[in-house]
Amino acid sequence: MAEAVRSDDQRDPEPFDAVVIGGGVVGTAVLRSLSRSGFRRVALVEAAPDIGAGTSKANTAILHTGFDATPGTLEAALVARGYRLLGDYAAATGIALERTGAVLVAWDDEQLERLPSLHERAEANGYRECRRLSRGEVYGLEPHLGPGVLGGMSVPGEAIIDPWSPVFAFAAEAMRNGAQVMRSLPVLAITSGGPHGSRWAIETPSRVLTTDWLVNAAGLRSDEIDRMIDTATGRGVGGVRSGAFTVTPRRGELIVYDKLARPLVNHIVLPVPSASTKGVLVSPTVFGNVMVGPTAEDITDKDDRSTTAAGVAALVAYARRIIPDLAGEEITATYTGLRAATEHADYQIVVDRERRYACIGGIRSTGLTASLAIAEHVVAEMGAGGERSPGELAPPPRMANLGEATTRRYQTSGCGPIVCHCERVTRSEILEAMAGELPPVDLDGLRRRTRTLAGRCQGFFCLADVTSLFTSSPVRASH
Amino acid sequence: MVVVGGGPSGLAAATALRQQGAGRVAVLERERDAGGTPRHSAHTGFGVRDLHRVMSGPRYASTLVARARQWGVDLLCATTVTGWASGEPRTGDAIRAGGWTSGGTAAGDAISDSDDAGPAGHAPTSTGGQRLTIASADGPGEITASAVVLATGCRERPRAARAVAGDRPGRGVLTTGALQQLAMNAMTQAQVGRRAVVVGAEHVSFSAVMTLAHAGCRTVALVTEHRRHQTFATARVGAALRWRAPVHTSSRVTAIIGRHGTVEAVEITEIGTARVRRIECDTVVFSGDWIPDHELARIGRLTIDPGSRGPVTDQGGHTSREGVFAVGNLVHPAEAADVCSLAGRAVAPAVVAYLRGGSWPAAPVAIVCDAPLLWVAPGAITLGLGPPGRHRLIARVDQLVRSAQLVVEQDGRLLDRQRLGRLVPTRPVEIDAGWMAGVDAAAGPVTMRLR
Ligand SMILES: Cc1cc2nc3c(=O)[nH]c(=O)nc-3n(C[C@H](O)[C@H](O)[C@H](O)COP(=O)(O)OP(=O)(O)OC[C@H]3O[C@@H](n4cnc5c(N)ncnc54)[C@H](O)[C@@H]3O)c2cc1C
Ligand SMILES: Cc1cc2nc3c(=O)[nH]c(=O)nc-3n(C[C@H](O)[C@H](O)[C@H](O)COP(=O)(O)OP(=O)(O)OC[C@H]3O[C@@H](n4cnc5c(N)ncnc54)[C@H](O)[C@@H]3O)c2cc1C
Repeated sequence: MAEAVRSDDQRDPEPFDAVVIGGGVVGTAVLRSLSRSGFRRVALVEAAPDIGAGTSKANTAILHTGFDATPGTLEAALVARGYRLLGDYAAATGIALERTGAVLVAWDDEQLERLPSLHERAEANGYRECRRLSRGEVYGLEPHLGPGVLGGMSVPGEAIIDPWSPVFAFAAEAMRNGAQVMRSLPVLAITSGGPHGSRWAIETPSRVLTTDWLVNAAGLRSDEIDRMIDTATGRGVGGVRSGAFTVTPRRGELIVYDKLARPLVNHIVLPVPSASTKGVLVSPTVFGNVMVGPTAEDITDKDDRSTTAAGVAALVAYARRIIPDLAGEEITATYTGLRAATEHADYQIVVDRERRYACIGGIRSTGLTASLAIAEHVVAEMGAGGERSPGELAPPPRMANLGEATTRRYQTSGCGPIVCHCERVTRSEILEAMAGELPPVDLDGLRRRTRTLAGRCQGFFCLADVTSLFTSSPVRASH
Repeated sequence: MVVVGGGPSGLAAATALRQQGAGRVAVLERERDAGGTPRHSAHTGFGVRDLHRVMSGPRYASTLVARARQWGVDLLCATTVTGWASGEPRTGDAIRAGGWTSGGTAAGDAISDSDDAGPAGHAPTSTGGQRLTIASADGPGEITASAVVLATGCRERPRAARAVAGDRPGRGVLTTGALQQLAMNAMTQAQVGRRAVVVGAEHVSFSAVMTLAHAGCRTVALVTEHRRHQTFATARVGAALRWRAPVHTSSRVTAIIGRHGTVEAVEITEIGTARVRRIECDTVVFSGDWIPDHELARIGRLTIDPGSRGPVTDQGGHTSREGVFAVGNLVHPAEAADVCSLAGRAVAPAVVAYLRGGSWPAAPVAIVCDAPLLWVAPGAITLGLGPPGRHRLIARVDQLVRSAQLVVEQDGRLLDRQRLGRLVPTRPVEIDAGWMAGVDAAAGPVTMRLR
């Protein structure tokens, strides 16, 4: 069911200036930029009951410098720019970010030999802070690493970020600038030449949206939307296709260790990347846990976000080799994220002014970092008429701090009682999330907004309190 | 005096402390009301050994709360102890010293949260006693006490901690603790499904079956890795229910299936044959497989028993850190509530002695146990303290032992032999403590093995 839709919208044929398909971190970032542009009527449609519930909720939450990107690619440029933009945005909105830095560790001679070329690559990408580390220096920085380190390289700029809040911040800011966000509204078909001279008609189960511009930010399904567009405009068969690509979901499984493991890891511990993946990393999280992952496995089913016994076992074994003391710690969560991998190495971003269609595909494993830069780039290419004057724009929203490095609500006076004990979430934080512009529709959504139920007991102590608070919320009742 | 945790063990310890003349005793409890886990257990079966009555969990909890109040215990609810403000050993050196180092199983060394090997010495104590950081509805604060009793209890390992693969449906994957909370609360009862698979086949698993039945949910299977279930064959209710709920032994739940927000089925794999089968259900309850809620113990760098994962204590509840006692299911995960409350009562004399200026045991004799014994509590012995509560030690085994004989030795010298009979994994193994008086304080660790 669509929501946040004024009842007159159904009968209101006035086309949107732009509609974004997909409410992940990329789509919401684009919506935010559009809402600050000369476009006045902008909207986002998300198939799922909530935004940020796809790949954007299941990643390793690293703000990448882009030191290891392929120089000269669009991805390299947008990651480097996005790194700065999202870092600043996090500071302005209060989204948790910790500049821990990364240590790249070589465990065998082959990896050791690749370090100089990685160093050169970083320089080629304009990142000049990397420094080679001796074996002793690596152990000095990470005393809990297992035996066998040969050397390493430091990447001091790499940072860890709260991966959930950016989506909500972008959407909230866009909505305050007048944008609409419609959840539970899957795009089923697209036809070109909508009524009233608009460019596009977007069919959903409950309504048809018409729009001048269409932005495809559908993540794993961006290829399918792209094909709909080609079909609608008579291309695809023999003609020039906008961004011909096919998305192959690449499964990345992750495990999260208990907070008691946090003192075991100081930095993001990176492996030496291979050609196909960045490899498995061990990293602290801003929530105070230790994360290990992701694996990399190409699969066929875009809806299969299951973890596998083999994947989890491999990560546990890996974790114990890298940091043997992790063996004694409990696992708090296991999950899977699906990267939108394509046959191309680079992002598949094409802005087609003629057809008024922007395609953002293949945002594989750096999309969180690059989100604001992708949005800036795409909206500029769309020629949306420059930013509106600052006086007209909503300030960046203040987000609840979910990170451990700065003060949490329970650490402030008059915070009210804690409801979720493992994660120390107060009742007031839960009620505020329920009263936000896009309230959660389920407990998973509440978790991503507040950390409720994300902890080690998984509801053993507080499930009833949390559930009754959630179901009785007056805000929710009215939705 | 501060007691952290207002469950049966903490409330009983606080009450006994007041009865034995301790000054101000405060119980800090993070939940809205004191009472601990029984507060959420609507079923009957509480209070037999301590109150000599059988009552429901909530009645039992409120009885213990009323007693504590009557004896002048201060109950501070909605107050979470978040850490140690001072007196926190900066490294783990000190707690590795003396007899606190080697408690636990022979298989692994006792864990301490630091690698630094340092000079032997005693845990430093700030003379002002213990300072704890707290978070209450008013905000953050600090509380100072001459001594602290940790009684933070234990929890069941949820799905992720058991690394069960598969989908992550938003609802229907529970622990027994979470299940009974949902079932007890009128607003959330409807969240319990219709067909459940219970992981585990120990006492609490059958408690889950009962709770599910009350909420209108049928248990279609219990799944245990062990070769048989572990509840009493004579437990009438359990047995009756068991007929309707088949127990899949030597099996493991290896995946949860349910992509669309709810559980659709579980996949179970038979250990040995690796045969996989699918059982349709909408609820999965992960029961038992206890882990102490040991956060404060860990960050306070208490020596932890690698078998139980609770802090190592002696018979008086002393831990490796001066001024800090531990009691209840934090130390022995998990015993029945009445056993915990009796254990709480039993530590009071040692606490009172310490408050009156008694010294802290410097070098207790560790108890080391061999497989199939998993752990034994208390894990250390201080001479001159007398026997532990109920004159018994508590242990666990990790496999069925048909006719066990326990051999207790110290440096090869036989201290005791006991017939323990049939030992069932997950079930308490009770060891008579009569031999403790014969322990030599100057000799090596006491070893326990089964024959
Ligand atoms: C394991 C893993 C680790 C990663 N680690 C990092 C990292 O450390 N740092 C980093 O910067 N990036 C990382 N990434 C990458 C990052 O997570 C992604 O690039 C980013 O989340 C992609 O966002 P998105 O908005 O493109 O996609 P999504 O979040 O998938 O959003 C797409 C949305 O489109 C919706 N949609 C699809 N079809 C339709 C339709 N027909 N109608 C309406 N809506 C539709 C979907 O429901 C979905 O919500 C990682 C990714 C993975 C998988
Ligand atoms: C499903 C289920 C069924 C059971 N059925 C029975 C039964 O039928 N009969 C029976 O005898 N026993 C039963 N038990 C066992 C019984 O609940 C326990 O034995 C008993 O609760 C243990 O007491 P405790 O005081 O050690 O721990 P708990 O009761 O767990 O109390 C610990 C308390 O410490 C508090 N706490 C933890 N950390 C902090 C902190 N940092 N700051 C402040 N407070 C903190 C917690 O909120 C909690 O209230 C059952 C248990 C379960 C889970």
